[in-house]
Amino acid sequence: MSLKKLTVVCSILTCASCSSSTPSSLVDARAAYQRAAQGPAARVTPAQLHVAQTSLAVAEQTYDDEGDTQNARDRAYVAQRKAELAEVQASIVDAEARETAAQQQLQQQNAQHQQATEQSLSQAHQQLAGQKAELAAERQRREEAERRAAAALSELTKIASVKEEPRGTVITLSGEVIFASGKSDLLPAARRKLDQVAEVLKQSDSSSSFLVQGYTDSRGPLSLNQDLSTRRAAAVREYLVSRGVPGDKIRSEGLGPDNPVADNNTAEGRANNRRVEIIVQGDKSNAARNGQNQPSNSGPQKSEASTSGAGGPAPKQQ
Amino acid sequence: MWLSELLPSWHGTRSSKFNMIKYVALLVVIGCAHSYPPPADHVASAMAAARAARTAGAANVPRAALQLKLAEEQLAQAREMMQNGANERADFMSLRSYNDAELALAIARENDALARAARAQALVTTGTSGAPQR
Repeated sequence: MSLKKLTVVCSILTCASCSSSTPSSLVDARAAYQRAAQGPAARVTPAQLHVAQTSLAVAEQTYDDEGDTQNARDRAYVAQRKAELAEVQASIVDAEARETAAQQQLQQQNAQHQQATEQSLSQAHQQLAGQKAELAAERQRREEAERRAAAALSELTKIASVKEEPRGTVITLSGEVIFASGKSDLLPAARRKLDQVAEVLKQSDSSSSFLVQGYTDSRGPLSLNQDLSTRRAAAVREYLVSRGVPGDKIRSEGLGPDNPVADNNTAEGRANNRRVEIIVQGDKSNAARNGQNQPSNSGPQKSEASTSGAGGPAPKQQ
Repeated sequence: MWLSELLPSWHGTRSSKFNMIKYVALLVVIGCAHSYPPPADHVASAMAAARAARTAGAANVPRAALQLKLAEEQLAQAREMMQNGANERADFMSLRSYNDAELALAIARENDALARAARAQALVTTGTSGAPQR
């Protein structure tokens, strides 16, 4: 290798060594500052970024003046830390802003939730007040209905026997009053009485059901008595339905001479046995409850006796 | 041998006087070299910054812990340098330590702020009532 070539190579190596002699701390400081300047620090913490910039300028100047000295490296080190600090402080500000925004959003959510709860509570209060008013009105209607039922039943006791039995409230009407002898057609007088009965039945509890049972005395053929009692019970049922008693709640049956309530050997007894019973079934029946409170007749005989003025049983055979 | 024996007499010859001036100048230069004041204040500042970072929990945050370690090591070096009379180096070392400690403190606070923000955002997402604890 000639001396000239060696000189050129040495020059290149020297230049290369010059360019690579920039201390890594200064390179790192520049990079850190660039990163910080391009990040949110420029917007969020400009003052701290300015401090980093100044610090980097001092480091650069020191390097220019003194070269790669310990002093220059120290200043570059400090400049890098200043730039990193600017970045971190920007991150802190950003995080605090996010926290504040989230807290505000949470407060709004809470406020909305509270408002919704209050609204719901208010609606519930209103609903409750409405229900109370409705309940009071219902109670009033019920009391009124009970009063009417009691009054109707009270009237009814004047024309019929009303008894409370395990099978229900039993309203007993004398067959003599309702039907002509041997017939199943209602007498005109019977219609007025059955109107009163129908009023009582209509005012009874909605859960009540009614059973009309027709009875005869024991004289005469059984089949005839059976048929007659069935037709009479059906006639009473039809009339009651025509007066507004729900048809699906009332049924009828004829029992002939069964279940006598008096001695069939006497005319008075037979008269008492010829009867129609209307049984109000169901414990919740207003009529039943009121019937318990009403002074009822002690028995069919007595009832027939008491109602004899309004058509008591006559001692005659059907 | 004492210094007076080495130094030429002020009342000596002309060349003796010239030598005297040279010695005095040399002493001034030596004196100036050692005139950098001990950076006690800067060391104290670095120490306070490191303490603050540790109090803020920097030791528990990996990135901050590294900076705190650097700060404390450089602080120890600065003290040693100051004891050995290397005041200027001690000053720069305390400056490095101070900046590392400040960065450690900031990173610890950043960690705390990020955690709080995440908690608050999680509360918003889940719709849980109640302000997040600071």
